[in-house]
Amino acid sequence: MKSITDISIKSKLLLSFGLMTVFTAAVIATAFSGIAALRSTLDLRERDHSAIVNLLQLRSNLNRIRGQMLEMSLLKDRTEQEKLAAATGQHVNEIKQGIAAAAAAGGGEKAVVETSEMRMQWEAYERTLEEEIKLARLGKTAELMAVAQGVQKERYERIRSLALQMADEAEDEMKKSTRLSRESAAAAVRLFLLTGIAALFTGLLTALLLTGNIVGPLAAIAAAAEAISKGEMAVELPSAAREDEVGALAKSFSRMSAYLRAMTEAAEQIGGRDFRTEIKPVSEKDLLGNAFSAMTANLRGMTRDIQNATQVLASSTGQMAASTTETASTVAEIATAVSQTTATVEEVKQTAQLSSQKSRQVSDSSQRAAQVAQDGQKAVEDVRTGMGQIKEQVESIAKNIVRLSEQSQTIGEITSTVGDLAEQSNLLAVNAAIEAAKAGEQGRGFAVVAQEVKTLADQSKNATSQVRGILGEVQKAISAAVMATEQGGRAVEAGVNQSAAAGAAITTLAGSAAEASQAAAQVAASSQQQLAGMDQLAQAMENIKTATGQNATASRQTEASTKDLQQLGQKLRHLAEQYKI
Amino acid sequence: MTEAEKDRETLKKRAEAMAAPEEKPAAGERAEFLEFRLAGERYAVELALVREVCAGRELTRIPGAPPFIAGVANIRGQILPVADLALFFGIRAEAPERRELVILRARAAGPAREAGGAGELAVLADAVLGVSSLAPEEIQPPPPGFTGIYGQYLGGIAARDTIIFLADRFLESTAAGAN
Repeated sequence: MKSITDISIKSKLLLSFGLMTVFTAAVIATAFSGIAALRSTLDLRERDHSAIVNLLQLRSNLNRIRGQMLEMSLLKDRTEQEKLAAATGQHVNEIKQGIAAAAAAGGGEKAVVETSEMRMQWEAYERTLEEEIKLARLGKTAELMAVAQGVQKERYERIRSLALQMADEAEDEMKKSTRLSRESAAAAVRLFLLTGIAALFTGLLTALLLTGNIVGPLAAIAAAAEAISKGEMAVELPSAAREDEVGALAKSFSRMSAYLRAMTEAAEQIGGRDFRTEIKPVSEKDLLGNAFSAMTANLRGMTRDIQNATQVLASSTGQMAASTTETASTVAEIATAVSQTTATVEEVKQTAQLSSQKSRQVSDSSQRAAQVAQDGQKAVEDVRTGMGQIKEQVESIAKNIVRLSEQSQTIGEITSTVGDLAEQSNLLAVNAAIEAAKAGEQGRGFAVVAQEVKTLADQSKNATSQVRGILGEVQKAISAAVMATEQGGRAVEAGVNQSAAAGAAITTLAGSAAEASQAAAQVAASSQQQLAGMDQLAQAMENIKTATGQNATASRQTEASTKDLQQLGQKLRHLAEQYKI
Repeated sequence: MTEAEKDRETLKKRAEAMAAPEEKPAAGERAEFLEFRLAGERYAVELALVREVCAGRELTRIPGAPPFIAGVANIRGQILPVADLALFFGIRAEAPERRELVILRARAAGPAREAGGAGELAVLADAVLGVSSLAPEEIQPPPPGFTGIYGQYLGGIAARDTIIFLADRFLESTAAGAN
């Protein structure tokens, strides 16, 4: 059979809470049934009470009708009688309703019988009542009284006794139902009490059982965990033969504790300079196991390296000792070389100073050259403008000369015309002389005039021939001038082109001069820096000289130190050999 | 001497000449001559035989005319034959482009008229030089050997190598030739 400790905690909890729920449901059901029973008895009581009231009212109505009949017999006034008859009709209706209500209320067999008898009696009474009203209207008082005191009285008494009897019966019923309800209430209270107590006990029992079964072992595990957290590795848990979650936890805890103990042992071994321990990781996620494994492997590798290194170190220090001795002598040689170099640097420094001065001069003159080149550029620009103006003027001169040539031709034409005129004048003068000769003595004066005219014509001819000669020379000169202006134009054109070429050349020259100036300035700056550098170099050489002296001292110290180092290497090798790998 | 001074001198001489009293020819009647240039020589023709001079113009060559007749010219509506004396005398030389015409007219009662010719003829002159008056003693007879076919037309040599051309004989011969 399965022990309670073998059931899982989940099942235990489900079971306990299920029990509690069942008991609570039972308590609620008990209370509900008790309350329902009480309510049904209360309903019965209410029904009986209303029946009693109904019968009481019925009786009172009957009494009133009887009274009214008597009053009607006494009254003589017709209207009063009618008023009373109407009131009686109303009461009759109320009685009818009361009987119907009683029939509807039902009740026992006896009640049904009584109700039907009452109905019969009432119907008879009602019929007679109608006759009574007729008699009262006719004013037959004596007859009316007889009927009322006779048949109607018997009926009235019968109805009244029936009503009373039925009321008594209803009261009895009421009392009986009251007692019944009280009894059922008491029973319900008892049942409720019993169920409640049972539920309480079950709850307590379950709580105790769960606490004892789960909390105890968990507390033990917690105490063990606390101990481990304080570094205590030799913790033993009571081996619980349980199959639930607590059992699983306890088993895992035991395994963890064992794992930790194994690790601790391994660490202790490593601590004791023994790196031969081989730790196998429990799983792939075993970080500590993996780390330990890697650590031991690394330590083994490292120790091996250290042992090799110490051997190398021992031999190296031996070599170093020899080397340092050599170094000491070399350093002395370096010291003499450095002092020679220092002297050389001083000479170079002076040269650099000279070079710096020269480069500054070059820079200044190249700046002047650049300025001159710019002036030249400006001048060439002016020349170009001037050449342009000259060109325009030469063109203007050429135009004028062409015009002059045309005009001289015109003059030539005019001169030839004048020559013709002179020729004609000459002929006219000769004709005039001929006519004068024909006239004889009378024409002698005329002949003189003709001679004068002829002389003038001759002079004109001479003058025109002179003018023609001069004009020919002028035209020659003009042709020469035209050629000269053409040549001048070409020369000016060439001049413009040459001045453009000169301008381009000077622009290039200006650019070159500016570049040269910049370059010279850079050279000057560079040589200044060089000078500063040489200063620093001289200073540095001085420092080196000092340092070399210090080096010589230091190398001797190094020699001593190397010997110490050799001894230290031996010691280190002994130490490294103590590690087992 | 400048041009102006020269002019002034000329004017002065002219004024003196005009102011001087007219000289009568010492011996014989002075005659007026028209001088003209032809083929580089000066020729003079008696003024009484000259009708007028005029400027040269377009000549119309006449077929069948004697070789020395250069053509005919229209002188103010009158058609006149034009003779080239250079051709006539056989002294052809370079002629100027423009030549002038001397229109000759025979004497009113002379052999030329009698011969029945028109009595008017134009000769070509390289240039008309002017009118001058010559006394008979100023004219020297032609040299003795100067008696060729054309010697009959030459009246002698005057000052400045001026050849006196006997125009009336020429007119006569041409009129005769025409007949």
